[in-house]
Amino acid sequence: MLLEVKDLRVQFVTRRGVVKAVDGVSFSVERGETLGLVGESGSGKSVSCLALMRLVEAPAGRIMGGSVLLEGEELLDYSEREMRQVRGGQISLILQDPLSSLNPAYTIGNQVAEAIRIHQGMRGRELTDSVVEILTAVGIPQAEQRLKQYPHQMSGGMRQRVAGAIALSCRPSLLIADEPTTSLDATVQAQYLRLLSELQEKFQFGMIFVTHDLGIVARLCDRVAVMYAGRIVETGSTRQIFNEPAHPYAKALLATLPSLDSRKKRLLTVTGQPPIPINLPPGCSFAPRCPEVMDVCRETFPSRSSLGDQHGVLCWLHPSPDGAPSKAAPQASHG
Amino acid sequence: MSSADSVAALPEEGKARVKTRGASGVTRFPFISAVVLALVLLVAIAAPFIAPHDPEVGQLSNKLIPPMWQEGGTSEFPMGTDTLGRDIFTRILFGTRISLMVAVLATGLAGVLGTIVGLIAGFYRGWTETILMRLTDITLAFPLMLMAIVLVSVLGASLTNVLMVIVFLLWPYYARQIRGEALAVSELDFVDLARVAGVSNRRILWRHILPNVMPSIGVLATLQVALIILLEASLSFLGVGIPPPTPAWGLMVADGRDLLGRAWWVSIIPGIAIFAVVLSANLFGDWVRDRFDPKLRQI
Amino acid sequence: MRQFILKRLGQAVISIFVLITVVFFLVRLTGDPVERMVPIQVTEEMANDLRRAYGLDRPLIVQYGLFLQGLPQGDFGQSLYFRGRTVQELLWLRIPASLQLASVSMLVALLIALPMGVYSAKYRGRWGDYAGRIFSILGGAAPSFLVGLAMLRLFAVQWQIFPTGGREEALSIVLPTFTLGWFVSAGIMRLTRSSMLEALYGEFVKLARIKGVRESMVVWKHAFKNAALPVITYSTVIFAAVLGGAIVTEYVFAWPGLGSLLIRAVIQRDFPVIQGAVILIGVAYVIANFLADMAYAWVNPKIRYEQ
Repeated sequence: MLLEVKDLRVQFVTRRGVVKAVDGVSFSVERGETLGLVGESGSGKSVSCLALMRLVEAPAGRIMGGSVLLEGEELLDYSEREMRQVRGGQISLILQDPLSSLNPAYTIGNQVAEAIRIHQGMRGRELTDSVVEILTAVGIPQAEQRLKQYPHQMSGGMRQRVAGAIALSCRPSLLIADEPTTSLDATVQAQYLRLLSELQEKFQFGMIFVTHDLGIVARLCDRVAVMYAGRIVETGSTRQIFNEPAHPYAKALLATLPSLDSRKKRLLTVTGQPPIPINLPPGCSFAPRCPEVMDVCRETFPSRSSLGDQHGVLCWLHPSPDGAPSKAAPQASHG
Repeated sequence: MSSADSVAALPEEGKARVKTRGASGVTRFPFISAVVLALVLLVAIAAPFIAPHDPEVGQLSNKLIPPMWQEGGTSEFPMGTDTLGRDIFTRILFGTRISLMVAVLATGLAGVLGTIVGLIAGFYRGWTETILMRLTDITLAFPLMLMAIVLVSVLGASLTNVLMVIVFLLWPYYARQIRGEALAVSELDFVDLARVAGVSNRRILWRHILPNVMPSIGVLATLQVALIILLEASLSFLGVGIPPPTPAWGLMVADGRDLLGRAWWVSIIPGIAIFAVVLSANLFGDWVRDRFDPKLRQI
Repeated sequence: MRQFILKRLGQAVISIFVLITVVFFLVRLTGDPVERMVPIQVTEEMANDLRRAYGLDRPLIVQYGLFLQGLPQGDFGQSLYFRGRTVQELLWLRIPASLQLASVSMLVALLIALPMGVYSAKYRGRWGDYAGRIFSILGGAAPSFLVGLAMLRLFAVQWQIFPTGGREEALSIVLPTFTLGWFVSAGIMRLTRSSMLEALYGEFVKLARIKGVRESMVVWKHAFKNAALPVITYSTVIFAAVLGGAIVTEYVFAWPGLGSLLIRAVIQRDFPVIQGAVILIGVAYVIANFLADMAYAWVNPKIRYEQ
């Protein structure tokens, strides 16, 4: 197993209370495999990813517990120095917005070179060569001439490729892509996704693809984890989630997809706002918006039940056989 | 309040909230500075009723009495007296009137003038805009204090001249800001709609555009109050501001300039009064800006 | 880039020209300097002689032309107060003091304000941040005459550590530097803090951390280089203002710079000197502002590579 996350918890202390942004999340990724992390904005997807790299901002944000195993090594026990070697070395992350994630004050050559220099200690000609090599690999034409260009001199699609080059420059074993295509237009987006698949084929890294676009998930991911209010409410293979969604939230998300068989395009089906996870009441956090809500949902949090190979869900519609409250979501015991 | 939202179009609410957490501390209401400013306003109105002495005439036999908490001080002159035997406390009370009057009048006049210029430049564009904005740029191209000193010294030191000079030097700040906003507003749809409906330019300007730039004018005005008080005090201190015997704070500081060894209170106490008011006005202005116009935050 | 430079240069030249013209006519339109200069008892004939000596009998426009002609050589005419001395001489005597005070204060201010602003932003909410912000808020509101006089009272009169004024002793510069430096660093610190905060929350800083960059490098290489843009501009503008605008400070400490020369000339109604000092300070200010724009353009690749 490349990455194994168990019961990860992240909190933010805010003026209005403690936000449990990530509340007992577990998932795993293997080499060459892509996991889709799906959910609305604020559901804790991005925070989970940053937490893997231990980049939750102190002092407001803190990792409260859990375990992050990268090839068997516990990252939460690493020193800051060891962690820096992991960041950009073994784990890389592509941020959402290519416009703002590249430093406007440095040339792209410099920015790609920085990561290689830090992790592989290259200098001079050798360094320049590997920068050109990786830029070419992500499909940037005439990479040599572009080394001296600044981010603002490139198009959005090119910048996103540069961000990809930075992420892949040190041949990471795990790549996290945090909605990397939201700011790109449709054609560029398709090209970029194709590129990511090709690169994964080539470098055999494990990938976590964060998105709220189920269309992309269907095309790109092997497995899916659906997040809601800091928890993963359903996991399964892409086929399982798309064909037999078990959680009402997953069903609602799927219903937002333009369907093929019926002509009418239903775009709006998940009604209401996702909760900000501050002082959540006991019970299922989706209950207020759930079309299939029952009394038990408002009182007790459902426990995980298995629906078959890999497929799991947290929902009272599918009570776990032993009926015991889930370990992943003890209520009010640590609030 | 449940509203239908497409999943894709959800705002990044959670994230944004976490990010701005510390900044909200700045936007908390500045209680102390508001109280100080309210007090100053009250004192300015009530000065003749609460002041124990005459602000401009004193008895030489009472000269340079130290403040009451020092040896030789008396409660009759709580903050001591100056070289002419005038009560410093009384003069400070009356001084609030000068500072406030200059601040309020200059802010108001510069605001009106600058807003008119800015609106016209931003709305009519073309040559009018070019000429008005060049004028603004040139006025802004020189140091404030230097120009104020030269203009007052040329015109002659008097309250009216100080006021006029300050207005003359400060209107461009409004003009520049308001022009930008008028430009932006006049590009909005409702202005086009009004135009299509046959509303006259003048009416569009006053009825549609002005109300939309009002908040910025207010914010800018609040921010300038402190600057004006400081500017007037500095001019008076240098002897190119309000002439004696008016109890202007800057003038009082200047009175005690050569007495630092013998009678520190003559200049330091009025100096502290200026400091307190400017500080309060600054803090209050910052709050108003953060609260009502985060766009101006960069300055 | 070239277009940008030319445009700014043009603006600067126009500003300087307008300044010279406005000052020239303002000074003359307010009345006959000779009348202000000589006692009332002087006969009309003597007054006329004086006018001729200073060239004041010619038409205004001719005077203006002659004045413009003399400017390139730095000829601002004769002082009315110090008979027989040219304005140029008087200005030259004062420039070193002004430059010295401005540069030293600026240096001290930057050395204090930059680390403080960066620290405050990086460790927002800690006591060091609060201390820094209080330092900056007070410095921005304290009138220089109050700070100056309070320092004089304590350090020169009471404890006699520093001289009360002038520029004769080596220690003379300490109090004026502190007075000016506090005010200047207040603004720089505040700006550094806010633009560092913006930069530190920027996505590119996040990306630098993701790349595994050391935190000190994240702060100084990635965040600070971006945050420095407005700080550089502001500092240059402030330096320009301080160069001639340290009028109050110079006056309080009797520092023999251009500012105190100007104030003395104002009190003595020595118009040629006022004119000369204002034009010199104004031109220095415009040039410094121009340089600030250039520095900004140079550091900011977005402008540097504009076609």
